[in-house]
Amino acid sequence: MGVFMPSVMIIRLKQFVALAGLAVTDLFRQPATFILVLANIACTILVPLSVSHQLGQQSHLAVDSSLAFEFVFGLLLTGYAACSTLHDECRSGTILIVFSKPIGRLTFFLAKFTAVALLLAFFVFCSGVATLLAERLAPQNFEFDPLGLKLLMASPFLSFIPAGLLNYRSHRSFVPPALFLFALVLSVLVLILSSFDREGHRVVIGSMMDWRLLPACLLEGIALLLLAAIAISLSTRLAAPATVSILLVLLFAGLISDYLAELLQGIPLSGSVLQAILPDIQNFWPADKLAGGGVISGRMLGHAALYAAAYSSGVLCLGYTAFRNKQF
Amino acid sequence: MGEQNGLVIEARDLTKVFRDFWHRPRVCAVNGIDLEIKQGEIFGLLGPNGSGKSTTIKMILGLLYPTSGHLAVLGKSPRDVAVKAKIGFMPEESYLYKYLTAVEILNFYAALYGLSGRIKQERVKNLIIQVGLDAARNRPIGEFSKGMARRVGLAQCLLNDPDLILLDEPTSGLDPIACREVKDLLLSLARRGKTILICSHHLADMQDICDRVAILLNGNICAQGAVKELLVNPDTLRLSLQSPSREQLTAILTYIEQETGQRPLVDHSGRTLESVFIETVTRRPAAP
Repeated sequence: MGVFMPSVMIIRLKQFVALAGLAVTDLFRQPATFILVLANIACTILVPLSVSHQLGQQSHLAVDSSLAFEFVFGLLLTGYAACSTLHDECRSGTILIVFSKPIGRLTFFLAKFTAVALLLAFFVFCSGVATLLAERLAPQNFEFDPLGLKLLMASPFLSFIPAGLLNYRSHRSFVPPALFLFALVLSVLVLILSSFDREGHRVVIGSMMDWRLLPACLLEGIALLLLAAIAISLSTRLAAPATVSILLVLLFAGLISDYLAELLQGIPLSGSVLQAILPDIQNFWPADKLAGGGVISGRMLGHAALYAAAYSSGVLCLGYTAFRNKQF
Repeated sequence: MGEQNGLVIEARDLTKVFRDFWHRPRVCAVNGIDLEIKQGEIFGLLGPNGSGKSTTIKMILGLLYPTSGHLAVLGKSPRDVAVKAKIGFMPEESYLYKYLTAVEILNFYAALYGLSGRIKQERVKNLIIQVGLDAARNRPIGEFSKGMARRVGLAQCLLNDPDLILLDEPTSGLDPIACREVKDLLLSLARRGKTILICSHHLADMQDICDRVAILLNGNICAQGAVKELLVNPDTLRLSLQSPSREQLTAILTYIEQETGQRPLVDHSGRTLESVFIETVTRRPAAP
């Protein structure tokens, strides 16, 4: 039996950090990442300002649409990121040099999953901030929030102009600084708007935001992490279109897994097998809970995280099995 | 190192068959080859496109698995991750992350070897200078010419001071001076006891540096042996003289013709185009 020396563990840790670090850097500089994150923020904040949302219950509609956008754009980002970081690396040949070094396939596979998870963490943060802003900026009784809208319109200029200047001076990618600055500017906007009412009067800090939305976004983030495990496993063999298609099918099948299980009631065990295989996405849909004035408790988050961890571990084991014997 | 027999690479009846989706044999890329490469040797794999050179190198790296036969690298299975700490590999194409600079990419690969701190910094710095990229060290690789990217590829291959160096078309895309520098570098590495396996179409380069070569065709080894032995033609003899006078030459030719009954071929010994190019370019002052 081989002795697992601490120095070996340190080397593996360094390799893991290097691989995950490069993968996440690469993901953040992809134009598709920029487009998907920005599209999610824009849809989340701007759709509630449209006429269709001004029929009453604006805040409620804003929250529902925001959470739905997080799921849809998050799923697209997950599928794209997983394939970009793993499948494209196999296709482009850069993996040949990496695997000519003393890198274990498990280290490589987990580093790629970690990179996708880090990107998703950023996406969920942006989505949470955007959801808070959407709920705050949604018109009430056909009245807009003038202070909020003015600050919102200034935010792209405050983030993209410095990022552009940085790109001009350093010749490095525009995307990462633009994304991080935009997330920072929107976070500051949330803090400012949480201290002013819609008429522009100072109020107690934080009192003008519905902070219940943050754990709701986090709950969806856990679901996206589960989908990321599926995506990275699929991307060992499949390209982005096939991976995203399968993720969409699993998402919708997971949302109606109870109904599907009922359809299969006549066949012994089939319903329970189906429910075990399909990700139970219903557990991660927070809108109904929020609509009744409820909150997403820590207990609920914990249960969801445990379920996601168990499901993801199983899926990652299958994905690694497919990757372990892959030839290049 | 192959402890038992001193062989760095040992292949016996090595075969690789690529299969289709239904697992039916599609193409036999390598067909039962035998290879023995010793320490400190520069071994060349020659052959036309599709002859199985790259497949053989990928099997040695553990990136492809043999269908049958025995393959040992440094005395162990090529799928053993630990073996790769002693191997350097430069692929045919420059498979590099184009958005990283030369220094960043070498730092990344050094981290994959577990190098860090001062050792990593010094090794990266020395290799950047050694492959002649000091002036372009902080430029993204996407802006590099093919030859410059090949130099980065060579530098990453030497990061771990490997015992076994595998090079797929190492001089492809390089200008003659860089080509000469690479060949000199490989010769100096071999003198330090490194074992080098090269795949190349550049037969003149292979002739310059290889101790032994194998010629692959359709996955089979057609010829194998020491370069000097393969190149020698035992049926002809070359006689070289240092500028004899016309009278001396006539006398020698007449004598040979009388003794052998053959009229000898007389010409001036030629220089290679490579030596003329290097002499011309290095003599010219650099452009301001």
